[in-house]
Amino acid sequence: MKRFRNLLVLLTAVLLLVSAIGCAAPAAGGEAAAKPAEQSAEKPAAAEEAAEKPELTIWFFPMGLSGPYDAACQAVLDAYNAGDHGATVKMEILGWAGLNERVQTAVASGSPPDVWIPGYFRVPEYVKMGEALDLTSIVDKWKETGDPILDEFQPGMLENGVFDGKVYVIPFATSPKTMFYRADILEDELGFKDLDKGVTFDQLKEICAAVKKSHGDEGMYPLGFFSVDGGTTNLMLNALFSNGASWVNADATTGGYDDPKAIEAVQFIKDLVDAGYVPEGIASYNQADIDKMYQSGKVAMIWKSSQHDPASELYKKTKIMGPIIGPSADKPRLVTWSDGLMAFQATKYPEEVKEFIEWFVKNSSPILNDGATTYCPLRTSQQDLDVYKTDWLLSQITPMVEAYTELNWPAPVSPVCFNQVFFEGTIGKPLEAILMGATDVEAEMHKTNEEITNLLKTVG
Amino acid sequence: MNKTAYKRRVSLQKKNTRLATCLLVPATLVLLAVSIYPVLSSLWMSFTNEHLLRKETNFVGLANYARLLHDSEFWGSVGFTFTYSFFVVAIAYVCGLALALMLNRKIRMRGALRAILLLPWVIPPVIAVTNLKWILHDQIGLINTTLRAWGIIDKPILFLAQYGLIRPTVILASAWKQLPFMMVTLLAGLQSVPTELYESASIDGAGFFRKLFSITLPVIRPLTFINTTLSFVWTINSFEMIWLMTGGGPSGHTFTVPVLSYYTAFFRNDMSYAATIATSILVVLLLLTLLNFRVQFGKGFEGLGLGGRGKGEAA
Repeated sequence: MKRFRNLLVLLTAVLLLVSAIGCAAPAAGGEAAAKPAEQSAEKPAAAEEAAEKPELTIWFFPMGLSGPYDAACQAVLDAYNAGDHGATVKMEILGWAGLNERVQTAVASGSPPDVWIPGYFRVPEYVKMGEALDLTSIVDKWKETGDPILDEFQPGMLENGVFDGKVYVIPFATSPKTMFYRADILEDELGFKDLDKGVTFDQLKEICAAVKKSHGDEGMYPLGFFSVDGGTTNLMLNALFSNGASWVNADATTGGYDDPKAIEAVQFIKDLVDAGYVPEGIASYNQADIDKMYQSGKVAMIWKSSQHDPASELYKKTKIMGPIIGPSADKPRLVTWSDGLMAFQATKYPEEVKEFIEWFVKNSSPILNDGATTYCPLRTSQQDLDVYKTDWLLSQITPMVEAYTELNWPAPVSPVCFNQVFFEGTIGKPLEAILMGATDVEAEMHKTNEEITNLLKTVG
Repeated sequence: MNKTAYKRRVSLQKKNTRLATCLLVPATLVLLAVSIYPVLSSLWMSFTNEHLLRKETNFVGLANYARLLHDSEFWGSVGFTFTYSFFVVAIAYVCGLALALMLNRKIRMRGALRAILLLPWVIPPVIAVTNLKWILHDQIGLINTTLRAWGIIDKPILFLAQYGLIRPTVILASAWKQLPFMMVTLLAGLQSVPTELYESASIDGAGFFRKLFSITLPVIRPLTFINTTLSFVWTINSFEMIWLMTGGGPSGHTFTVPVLSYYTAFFRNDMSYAATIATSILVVLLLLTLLNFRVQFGKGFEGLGLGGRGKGEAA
């Protein structure tokens, strides 16, 4: 019995040891193993040197297909870590589920990452909290040295990250919201042409009517979108921007929902709903629901974020529509959600962080090119990357750059409360109510306008 | 008992006490760290104005509680929390009892049925809700497609996209999840009812319902009380089913107090007010728990003035 017990203890110890070794294996072990043999001789010295350097952490959002995206991010960081820099960097790719909670908890507990790549709309909140690191010195250096990168950013993007005269976010990439459509139905079968040039509200209604007439009996709906998990916010912004309206006024002091153009845009969505052009239960759909509907041939168009799905046969018949243009629109607009590099004040290594950010901005193109992302470039030079010429999706969206419109438009920068109004779903509330059966568009818009105005006044 | 034996016994008792204390220390420390400390910390936070957008935090006394009194969103969520909890427990109890009565009989495949009926409890909430949402989907969900195929309905039932249906839907889903717990505990209770009582009642000509209301329910009443009280506490406190099904929406229509508290903390950044909301519901839960403890370990039903009868008096 005693021998058996000793054997058991020994076995447990061995198992623990094996597990510990397994856990300690590097995440990018595959790549490391593939490196030439001669490099392994240099490893001890490099490892020793790396051990002396501070280690920074960067958080990425899951903006590309898992696999190529992870590998592309890691490859960029490997290149940085192999160079002569003041720090090494490790990455973590966050999941969408519970993302906001994860970040807020990390910030509240004083343990945020050193660097992350959030949407621009999130940054003002962290600036107000006093949690964002001032990155002005990076831009000042570019100005002093006449760095050509300054002329490469999309107009206004650098200024979009300036709060109280200081730069807190450096542009990285952007993600426009578009209308996907079944080209085999809309073009080949129903004969609609030049849809990539832009589609007016009336044309969209016409397309919906034609799809319903030809495929309604088969249970196909002309249009789909998602509503929960920020879906109505997305749709609301798409509808408003299409008609030259916004959720906020130009000086970010009141909501923009009392604007007749905004009411007209929402009335347009209501007309589509009332005409039966969207599925009845759409108020409860999340992104997966509407994707499934599209892939099962139950909707002909979806208005939502860009998405890669090379595995699906259906996406080979899919094209991207040009901007939807309302009757009161000043110009064609596509809602774009831009991401930038931001650092946290809590970092122990602010200078190393700034050095890394500067390096990353200039050297992270492989993530856009090889990461199977839905990111579009925010720098003119990146428009020449192969992916923007060859990828079926990005090659269609990238030329629409003239229509890109940042979320905070027409305000010069995002208001502090945007993070809250986005995650609370305030922006999409009128549409949520309409999808649930509300009939008075003006009343719903007015109610939400008061809510947004109140937040702009109290939060900023 | 001689003196030496007595001494040895006392020494052994001391050793046992010491060992028991040592064994309890780790668990107590863990409990203090993960349970008591957060409760106390949350209580303290409710008296401050901690907000993620505010750099300084100050003591504000009862200001948050005063704000709570005039907060219509909070009272709306309190109303729904109690309605939700009441119906979830009631439905789970009635259905659980019916199933327990069925499983208490000698029927075929009883073991297999028990295992199948336990499934809702065993399935993780995320998986359960994902499947439920698909089943309830208006276009490709099992219920709507079946009813349409059979010609029972023309238009889909919008379980999660219609104000009138969304609350009943989350209540039914939560009741379904809780049903196995009720069923299993009530089944255990039913098996303790002496069969002689039923035999005597049968001789006197009592039917099924007469036996149910005059024998079964009175005998299992203490169990019923404990069961429903505990379930009520758990349901008030539950978060995941509603969060996963509706996220509290649309427009706060399915906010329960825990969901509102979470929302206030993480989406509105108002940590202190979230703590105040959580503390307010904690008081209700504590009262319910005390009541339960009193019944379970203390005075019984008579002590509570609930008019119950002692064991064996049911007949």
